[in-house]
Amino acid sequence: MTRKNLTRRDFLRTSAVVPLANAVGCCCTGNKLVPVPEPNGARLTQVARLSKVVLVRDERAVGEGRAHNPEVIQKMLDEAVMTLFGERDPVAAWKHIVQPSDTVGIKTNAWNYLPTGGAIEGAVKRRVLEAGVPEDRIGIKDRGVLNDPLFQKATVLINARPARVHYWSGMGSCIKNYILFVPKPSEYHGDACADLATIWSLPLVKGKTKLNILSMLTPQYHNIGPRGFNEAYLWTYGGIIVGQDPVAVDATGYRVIRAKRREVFGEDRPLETSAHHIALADTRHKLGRSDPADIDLVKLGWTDDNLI
Amino acid sequence: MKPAIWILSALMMTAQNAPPQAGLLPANAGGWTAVPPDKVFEGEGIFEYIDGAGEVYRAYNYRSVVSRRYEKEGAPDLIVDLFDMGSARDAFGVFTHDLEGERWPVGQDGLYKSGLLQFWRDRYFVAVSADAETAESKAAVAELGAKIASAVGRDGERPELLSRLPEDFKGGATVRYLHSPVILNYHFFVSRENILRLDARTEAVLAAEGEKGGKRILLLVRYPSAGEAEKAFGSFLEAYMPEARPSGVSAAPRVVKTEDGFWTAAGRRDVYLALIFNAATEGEAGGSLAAALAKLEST
Repeated sequence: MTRKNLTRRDFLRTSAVVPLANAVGCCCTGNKLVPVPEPNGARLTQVARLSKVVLVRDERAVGEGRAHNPEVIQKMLDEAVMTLFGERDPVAAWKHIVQPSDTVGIKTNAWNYLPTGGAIEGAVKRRVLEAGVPEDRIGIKDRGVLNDPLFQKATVLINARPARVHYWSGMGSCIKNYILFVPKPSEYHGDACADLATIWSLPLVKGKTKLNILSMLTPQYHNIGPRGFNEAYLWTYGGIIVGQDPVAVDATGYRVIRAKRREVFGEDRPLETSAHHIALADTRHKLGRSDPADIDLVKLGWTDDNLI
Repeated sequence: MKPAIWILSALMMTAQNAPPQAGLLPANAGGWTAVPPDKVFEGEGIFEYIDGAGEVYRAYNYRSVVSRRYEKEGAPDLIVDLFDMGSARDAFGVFTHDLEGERWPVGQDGLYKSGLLQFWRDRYFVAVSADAETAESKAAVAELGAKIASAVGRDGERPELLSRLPEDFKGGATVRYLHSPVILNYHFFVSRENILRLDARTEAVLAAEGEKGGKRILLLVRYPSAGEAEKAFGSFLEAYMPEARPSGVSAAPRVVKTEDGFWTAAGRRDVYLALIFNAATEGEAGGSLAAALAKLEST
């Protein structure tokens, strides 16, 4: 497979004409229709879909030593998915995501310092099983997904990872979590991973992602030095952000991280590496919506210090 | 395996496999004491420790890194990451990857910011960090750095390519040394594909001068042979300056106006390519390139 080369000049050429909002064509379903002004601003006759995102928080989700509480996290995930699809029963909600005939790849993040974790992985797998998918057609993996037979046959992908600042991409995001679906991840590092969203159009993943889960249980809001991790820059937010639009999920998580940085630093201090891959996934690649005005954010649960 | 046996085994493996630079690390500093075992990473193992940023050290041909934690009761932990980069030029190069901070007189160049000291000396790049910055931890970071720099014992040579920079890209300019297109694109995005044909055998200096938002950029690249420089020049012209391509790949300088209203210039001398980006005028682009090419001829 070849991909088009893009140079700095291509980006200079397009940056002057790219629209900044109202990108369409993502996989969002069941989202609210809202009136938007016509270009001349005179009337409200068009409608656009907002990307629905659910933020659920619970102060009991994380305990001593950053231990995840599986029961609480199961309940949080259930509430989020039920809200996302307007169902009162979690299994009914999950049937919007998977069918018994599906092969389901749960793309997790196994980085040992801040992994997605067994509580979230287990909560997802339990509901996928209960929705009727046999266990031998469910895989959970991070490294090695590219050559994993189950992921190669997957008809549905569920994308789950923690939010943290990231050296190359500014923020370790749901969009970024698919970097291991390419053979040479470093090819996407240029310009602060500006074009990560193009991975989502590769055949192995295109159109298959039915749910994105950004763990905000203990996000990392800052880092210095060569290591990507520092316990001092984690905080217990006790949240999970869920949605079908990965860009909207990431943009919401990024808002929380920025707000935390404002709180800690007393200023809107830029990340050491720009997280512009999230906005560009919208404006350049049309993968989803990044503007809060285009996101229908539903907040559930614990409200203390929710930052947004 | 039982936990106690496993831990003993891990300790023994660590001790047996510790690379020589572990001997450069002190047992204590400023009241902080080393907590064994050291962690040692080589090759792709660095991604277990550093995640994606491990690519930076791989791009500079790192050999191994030893990480040692220091503790003091009631105080934030300190961590030293000591990288053997294999050569002084790559130790210098990886140091230039992050040039933010306050200059500290440690090693051959040192920078400190927010609890993190980074410096290089000879073939080693060192990062000393505190989990939280206090006056006491800052002093201990300084002491640790000084002890390690002293233990290294000798300076290494900076890359010779630095001497080829023209005068207006010395002094106040930000200067980075690199081999890899990944590193180049991190600092100044040129192209998704490797149109400059950079690899471990090529050396490049990226220099930026001027105010933020209006920085003029010089990229000098040295190839192993004139033939490889010529191929890279042709590749760059074809992908980046196609309007300047019709005259072939002769070494003649080319100047084009780019879509942001600034000017780019490119030229070749023997084994070198010189590229100017973000010049304000055609004259500035041409003049900067001429100065760079003249410097390549005069040394």
